[in-house]
Amino acid sequence: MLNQLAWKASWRHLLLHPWQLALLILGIALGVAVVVAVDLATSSATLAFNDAAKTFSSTTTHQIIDPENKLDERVYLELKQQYPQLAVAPLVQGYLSSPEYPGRRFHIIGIDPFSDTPFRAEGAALEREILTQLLTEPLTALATKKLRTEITTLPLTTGNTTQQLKIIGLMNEQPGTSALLESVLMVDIATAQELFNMEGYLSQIDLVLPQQDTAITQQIQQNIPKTYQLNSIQSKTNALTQMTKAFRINLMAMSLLAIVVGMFIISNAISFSVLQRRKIFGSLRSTGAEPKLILQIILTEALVIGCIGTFFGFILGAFLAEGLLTLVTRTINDLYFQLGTSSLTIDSWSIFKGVSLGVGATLIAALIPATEAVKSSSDTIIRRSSIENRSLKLIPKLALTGIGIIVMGVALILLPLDSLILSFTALFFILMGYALISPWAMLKLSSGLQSAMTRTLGITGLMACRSIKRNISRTGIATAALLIAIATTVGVSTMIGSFRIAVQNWIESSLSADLYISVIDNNSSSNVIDPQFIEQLQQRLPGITMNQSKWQQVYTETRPINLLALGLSRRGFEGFRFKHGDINKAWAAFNNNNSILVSEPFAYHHQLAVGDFFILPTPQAATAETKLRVAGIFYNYASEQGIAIINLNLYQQLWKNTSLSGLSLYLDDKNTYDANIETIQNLFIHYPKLQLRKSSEIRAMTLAVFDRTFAVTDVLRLLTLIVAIVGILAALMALQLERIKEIATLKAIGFTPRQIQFLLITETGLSGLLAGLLSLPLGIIMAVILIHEINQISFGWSMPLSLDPLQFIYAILIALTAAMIAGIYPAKLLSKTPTAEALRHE
Amino acid sequence: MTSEIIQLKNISKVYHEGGDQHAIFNQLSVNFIQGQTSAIIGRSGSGKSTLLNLISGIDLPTSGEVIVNGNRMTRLDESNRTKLRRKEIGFIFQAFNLIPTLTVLENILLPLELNHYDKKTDEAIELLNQVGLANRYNSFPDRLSGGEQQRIAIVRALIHEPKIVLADEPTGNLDTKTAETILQLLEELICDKNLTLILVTHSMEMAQLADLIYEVRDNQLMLNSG
Repeated sequence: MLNQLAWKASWRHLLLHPWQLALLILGIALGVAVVVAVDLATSSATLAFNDAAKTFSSTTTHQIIDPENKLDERVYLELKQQYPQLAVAPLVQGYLSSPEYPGRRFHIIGIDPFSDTPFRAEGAALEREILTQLLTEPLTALATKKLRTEITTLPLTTGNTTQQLKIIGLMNEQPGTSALLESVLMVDIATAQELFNMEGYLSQIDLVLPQQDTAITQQIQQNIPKTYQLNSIQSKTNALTQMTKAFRINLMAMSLLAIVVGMFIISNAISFSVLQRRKIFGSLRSTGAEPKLILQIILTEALVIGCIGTFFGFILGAFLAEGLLTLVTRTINDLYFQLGTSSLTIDSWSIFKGVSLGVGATLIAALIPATEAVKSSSDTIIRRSSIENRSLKLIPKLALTGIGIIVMGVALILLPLDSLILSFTALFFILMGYALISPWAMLKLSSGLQSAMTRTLGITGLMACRSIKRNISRTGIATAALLIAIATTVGVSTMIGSFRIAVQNWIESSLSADLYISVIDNNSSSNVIDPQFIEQLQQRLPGITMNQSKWQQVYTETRPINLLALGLSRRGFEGFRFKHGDINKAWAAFNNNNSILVSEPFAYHHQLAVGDFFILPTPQAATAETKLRVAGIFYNYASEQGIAIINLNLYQQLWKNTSLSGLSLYLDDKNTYDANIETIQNLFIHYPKLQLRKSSEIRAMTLAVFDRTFAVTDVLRLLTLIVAIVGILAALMALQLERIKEIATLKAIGFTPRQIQFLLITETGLSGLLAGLLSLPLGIIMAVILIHEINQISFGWSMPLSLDPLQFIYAILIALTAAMIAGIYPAKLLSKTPTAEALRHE
Repeated sequence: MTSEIIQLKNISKVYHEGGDQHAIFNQLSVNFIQGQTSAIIGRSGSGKSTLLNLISGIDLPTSGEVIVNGNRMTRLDESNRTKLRRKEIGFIFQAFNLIPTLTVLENILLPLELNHYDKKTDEAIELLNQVGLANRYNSFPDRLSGGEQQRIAIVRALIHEPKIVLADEPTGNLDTKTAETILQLLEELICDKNLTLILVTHSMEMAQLADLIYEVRDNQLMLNSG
């Protein structure tokens, strides 16, 4: 009987305080939601990311490509004749947009259905009627079931015209690939060539080569034209994995941060709920309830509430994840390659993590106060002062533990190992250590502020300062969560701000020319500037200073190399800012055609220093390479993989290729500036694939991409901050509601409702202010680690730390406002609660 | 010459609980004279504490009028009722209700600060001395025993020299011996101050100390002639 009533006594408390129960569930749900959202979004993007490299090439072992995107289709026919025993298939692919689906790009894949069967299941097993139609009828396509139910004809923008692509059948969708194929259209190779204006050319030739037989690989390499490359799929996949590793690890780190904040919030919510019912548990103990029963009651409740909170957290998390995924996909598209539309994939690991956090953290959080309640005598359970005294005794011990953890974190950073995981672990240690020190620091700061607050705000200021000490057991964890979230805001904002300033300075110095001419890159055809255009340009603008460039991607077994061949004026060369190496010596070496200049990330990834030799693979033969001395390492934030620069003359000798992919022009005479631009634009009429950009446009575009890149980080940061704010809101609200009798006494003694409101908002505001102030040192430490450790290891970029005082004021204001908002509702509620009733409150 | 410092005119107080109405007072009229000590007795739930709440303006009557020192309490808004209360009334609660975040001295000085009076720290220390707690002035309430806390609460109720002191079962949470000490102290502190003390109690022994004893019975306040 006692057992039943004991359960009822505890439960009824929760049910009689529905708002507090709702806040408790909300705290858990939000903690779970943000973790699940970040996790689902990143895992879905990663899945799409990984699969994108493999889609449609499941059995392909090698690919032949032309870096110029002009792979002659006759090469394919020759291969078929020479190696009838081999599986060989041609492919033309590219991306097109549709006016019907603004913002979405469709991946068009042109195949030869007969030779393609061993490679791709998607185009296999077609009905005879569909196959005939696909081969004989122009502009016909196969799509996914989903896309086909939406449309039967898809208008596609190709150059200045729109072509209608008729969807005649369904691709053979493999289990689990539907999401990846959503924006894919499979067409006959002739249709793809027509759409991309690539008649006679291919994007690539896929091959299945016997793994053991390296002779055949070498034979093919020798037989194909020298400018073509035969690459193994493994090296391409490796390259993609390398390229995206840092990005994925960074997302994972943000997810871990969300877990930390989520755990703090859940812990605070549940431990508060147990502490609030200390009287009930104490009375039950006095009445004869065994400690075991109290433990059972608390843990069962935590389990039930944890399950409910986790359930709601999942629903909310899935909604948030949809939005996050769009941002993550956009960043991947901006930085790496076209991913198309990724769909949310709910995997069991994400579910496991969400449940572990929601239910596990709730149970662990409940265990600590539950054990306390079980260990203590019934009298001490009831007395709140004993709880606060215990907390106050614990705080210096926690601070010492925190210092120990921080020392461990610093030691990890100082280890001479360039490991991203290790750096994040160190950062995590420092965060946790600082969080443990924060209650002690809060107490010290509030004591320090006491006399100033009393002088300024009188008794209200004094009471606000003392409330920090008195309520540390109730709000300490939530305040630490707010502190971590604000510190993250400061740290990440400082890192992004420093990065942005570095990028801005870099663009300013490197974009020294006025105009830049390049080929509109639609992945479909050659990116070579027509030599006739260059000739005409030089004729019409004689004597104009011009830099010439040629992009070349060079594949190696480990990673692709972005090679830039430059024909530079001394003036153009001066746009480089060297991190290592002397500009005059580098200029001399560059013109001697025996040197290479490398960007900072390139030097980092290839472990190069000035004076080292770099082996550059060249197309002269399958094993051909050229040894070049590194003459300088320059700052460059264009690519995290880095770029290598050689003289254009050297490139032309090595590659036997005189084509150009970019021009930059100096229009020094301001009087003829507009006339010269008009001349170039008139020339452009005959060259629709060329684009002209002013340096100011490139600057704006670069910064726009930069800002978009960090949009996802911003959202994650914001989400974490929202969780922390809601957490502190829940904690402070619950705390204030617990003080109903104390507030009523103040009213009875003579506090007016307005004074009560002022007091409560000052109290919560002070908590926020202290959290904000304490977050600044941690934020700066985070920024230093992010800039000098994590960024350096992830991308190889170095940049000076730029501290923005406005960021700090903003952070303090966020913390202050969040905490004050948290105080408004209970302040209003308590100031209006009938005093007589509140005085009777137990 | 006697002056009526508290006037309750045709007071009714009805509580609503769910759909039920529960009348505490019905057309109650009573006056309290300045300088007199009145004890209010009655069974639990009869409305003794409600009466104090009505007098102090913490609660409002359903109908009728409460006049305190010439101020029509029932016509004031909450803010002005509070200002009147903090000036004219000192409150002593059964559960002491000291502010946990303030020290003993600060708790005592609180009414002065709220009334914007000069802080009479010396006087507060003197009063603490009288109640035997001068050495505890810097302690926080949770370090004090019940009896000590109530002594502080009494000093807090008197420090700003109110005209009225309302004591709601001030010894209800104390043992007999401590209760006697507290009563004695209360008597000492209010004598010669021409204070009006209204004392809610269960104890007839305590009630005997008052000039008048009222009993809350049948929604009325009956003067107990015995």
